[in-house]
Amino acid sequence: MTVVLATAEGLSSAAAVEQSPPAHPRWRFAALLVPLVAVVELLSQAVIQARVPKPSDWEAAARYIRRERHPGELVTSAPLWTDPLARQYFHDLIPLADAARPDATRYRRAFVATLRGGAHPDLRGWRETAHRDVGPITVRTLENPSPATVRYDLVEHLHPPDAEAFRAAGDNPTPREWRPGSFVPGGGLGQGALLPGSRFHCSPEGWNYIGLTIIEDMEHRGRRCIWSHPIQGGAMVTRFREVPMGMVFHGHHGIAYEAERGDDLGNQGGPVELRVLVDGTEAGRSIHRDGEGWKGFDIDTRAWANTTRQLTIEVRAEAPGMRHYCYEGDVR
Amino acid sequence: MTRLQRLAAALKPHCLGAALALIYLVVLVRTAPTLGYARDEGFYFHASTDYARWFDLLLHDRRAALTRGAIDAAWATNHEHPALMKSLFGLSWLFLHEKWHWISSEGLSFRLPGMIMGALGLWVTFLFGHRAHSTRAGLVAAVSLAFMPRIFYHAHLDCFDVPVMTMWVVVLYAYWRSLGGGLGWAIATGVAWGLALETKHNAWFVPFLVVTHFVLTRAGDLRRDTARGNLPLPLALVSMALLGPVIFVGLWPWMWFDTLSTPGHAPGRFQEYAGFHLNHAYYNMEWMGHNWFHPPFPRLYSWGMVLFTVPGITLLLFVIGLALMIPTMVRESTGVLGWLPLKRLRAWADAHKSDDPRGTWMLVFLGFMVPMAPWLSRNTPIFGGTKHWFPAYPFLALLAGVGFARVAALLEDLLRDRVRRAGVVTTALGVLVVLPPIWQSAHSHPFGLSNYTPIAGGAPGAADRGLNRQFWGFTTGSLAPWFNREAPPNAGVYIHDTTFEAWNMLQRDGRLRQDLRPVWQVGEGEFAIVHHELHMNEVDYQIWTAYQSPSPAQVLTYDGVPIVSVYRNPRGR
Repeated sequence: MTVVLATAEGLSSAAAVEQSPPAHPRWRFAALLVPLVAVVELLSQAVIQARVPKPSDWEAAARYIRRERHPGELVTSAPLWTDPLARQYFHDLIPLADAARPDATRYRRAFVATLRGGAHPDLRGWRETAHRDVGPITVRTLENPSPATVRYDLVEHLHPPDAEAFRAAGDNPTPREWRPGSFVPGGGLGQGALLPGSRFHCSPEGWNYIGLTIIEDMEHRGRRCIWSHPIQGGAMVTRFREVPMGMVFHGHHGIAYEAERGDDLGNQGGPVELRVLVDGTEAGRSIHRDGEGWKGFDIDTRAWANTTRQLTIEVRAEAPGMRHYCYEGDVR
Repeated sequence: MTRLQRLAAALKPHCLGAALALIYLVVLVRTAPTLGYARDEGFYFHASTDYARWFDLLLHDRRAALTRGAIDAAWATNHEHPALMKSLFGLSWLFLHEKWHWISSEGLSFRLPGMIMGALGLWVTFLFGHRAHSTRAGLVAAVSLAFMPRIFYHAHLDCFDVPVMTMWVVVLYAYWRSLGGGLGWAIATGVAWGLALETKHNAWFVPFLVVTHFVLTRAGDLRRDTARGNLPLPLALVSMALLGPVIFVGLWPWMWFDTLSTPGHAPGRFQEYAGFHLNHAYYNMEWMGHNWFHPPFPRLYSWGMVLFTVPGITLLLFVIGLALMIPTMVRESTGVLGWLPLKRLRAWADAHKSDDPRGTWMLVFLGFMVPMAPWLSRNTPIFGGTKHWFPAYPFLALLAGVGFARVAALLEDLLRDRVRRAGVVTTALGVLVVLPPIWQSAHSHPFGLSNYTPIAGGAPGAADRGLNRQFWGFTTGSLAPWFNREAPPNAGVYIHDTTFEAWNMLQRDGRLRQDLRPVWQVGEGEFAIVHHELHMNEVDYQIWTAYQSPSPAQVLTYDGVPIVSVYRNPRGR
């Protein structure tokens, strides 16, 4: 098929068409594909717009969940990009601890407002026990096949008198002062996790404290955790006084996104080590290296199970620069 | 044909082109008041105002204006970008808003020159299509270009991306006309390229395109002439070489001093300008669920974004047009085969040589490919989304116009017995192929950067795939009614990715209450917003930390996809 073209001054449309060689009949029928595609595109656009959930759909989903949910059960949404809407419409059902949870292993049941057949990565392997369609939203009820019983969550006890913090450089660990209720300064792209209002203050350096903040992990999810930026030649120590021990210490650690991903030239930082001590005896350790993201670990504590002990977390790194490190853990 | 008839015939395509441009301009002006102001617009408001004040000084005290002190004071602002568009934005503001009060909206007065450039782009694209192929091809090309949703968004702005797209098509159109002979079009090419350079730095790629085109399509002549000791050059290229740099420096007062070196022999302002763009920082951009912030960047990014943001019907027509024109392009480039030491190949090339000495379709093809070419390298930053290869789109649209013309001819032929009235089938098809782009553009507004075509599944499909949601923080403008209604008097708002200038312009335009204050710390005001982009999630978590709550008071959505979350500070009033 050859089209003869306009040369110096162009051809009128009629001339251009007239000079085209007669097309094979099959091409004439194939040309019908073009208006067909246009119609399909118009219909697709209409379908996309028609399938958008309305505020009333989200409100109906919220009413259903409020009716069915028991205290302590997780409420969330899928796919992940719908999360802001879930937090808006289910605001009383998603506390900060759930929104920035370390994982979902502790929940027995979850209500998932699901759009477009999305799945939530935290709930893989959970069994669907019910579902309710509310417009384009499907509220799925999922059951955890093996929910964990949390006996003590470090994040919930990071304050005096339950916890104390030290900066250990040399032989004598220096206790750090607890400063509650301060203004949270800063904010903006590239500033990372904010200094929390209540924290164990270590130095005027904005990064040098132990406190509860929320970091962005390598999957860009928010994780509520204990900021414990390592220091040169020492350790950041947090001690929890009376911890009812269980079979395992279950935790996660990570480095805030911009610090872990490295700079524009791909330069990354060194590893950070977390040690868990029970009454001064090391129970286990986990090392976090760049690229590992929000890393989970389990430390066997059966030797102290069903007793009340002092639990100490030590964080150290040989190269602590830009180690915007944060951990969380619980006894189960 | 009388002289008058000849004149009327010559003016007819211009009338059509002008009508298209005027309609587009009216649509842009009418839809602008609901579109928030982008980060870069904020920077250019500032720069344009400084430049306008210098022009005002030039009008009133030429001697004072031409001192280095006055020039540097005004033109140092935003000197990493050339001056043409910012000068036009500023002059429009100075005269149409400040002095003559023709435009009441200050923001619109800045934006108007960019809109006019967008409209001009349609006019020239139509002319190109009309002259190179047919009126119907030109019409469909121009309308398809106008209503690519990303073009539609950017055409509203006081930015450079649509203007430089227009300047590319103007330069290549003038160059193409110049190949038909005559000094006028050659000079016009040089002038146009100078203005293109003065619009945005991607115009520096144009000479590569022109030289490549000339070598490919005139290789036979080159071979013959060089054998005779001559080096034939297109007049337009000479004109570009002579006029381009003169216009580039002449219209940019910042470049009038220390152009190539300082008195202390340090690199001059031109090197600083070049260095800024050659060593540009890498910003973040989401693609397929991953945040890309340094090379190597994904090889398929640019092609994927074309696929997901240009309406499907336009792409289909483009593919048809390209397929139809490949044989022509080969015939236009047969001179290159003459360079090969194979007699049989040379004979074939001679036999199949195109009768179009201007190599029209090779030029259109290069017009599409050269602006896309930087993204063949995995080191080219991708942070601009689609806007950095906008100069490719008029040529994509022209090939789509060719595809349309051919399909229309085939359908006319197929339906000849059923539809007797000439032109009905073509008109119906024309309406049908521009409807999806028009609908998508209308629906995309004022969320142009969040829009994806049905190929991507629309905005929700793009969110599923992990495609960038937006950038530049302009969607704050869509929250103005909410803030006007909900915020207590003198409330402070942490405005995240929105610049102070953009926020301030909403207030100066009367779209946002005057008493609302932008604040720079998340915990400082009564509200905080976060623009949903993957790498900006950290700001969301900062707000959670400061407010100790993850519950937004309002989520601005587009097709059900979160665009901006607004949080109410529990410690606020």
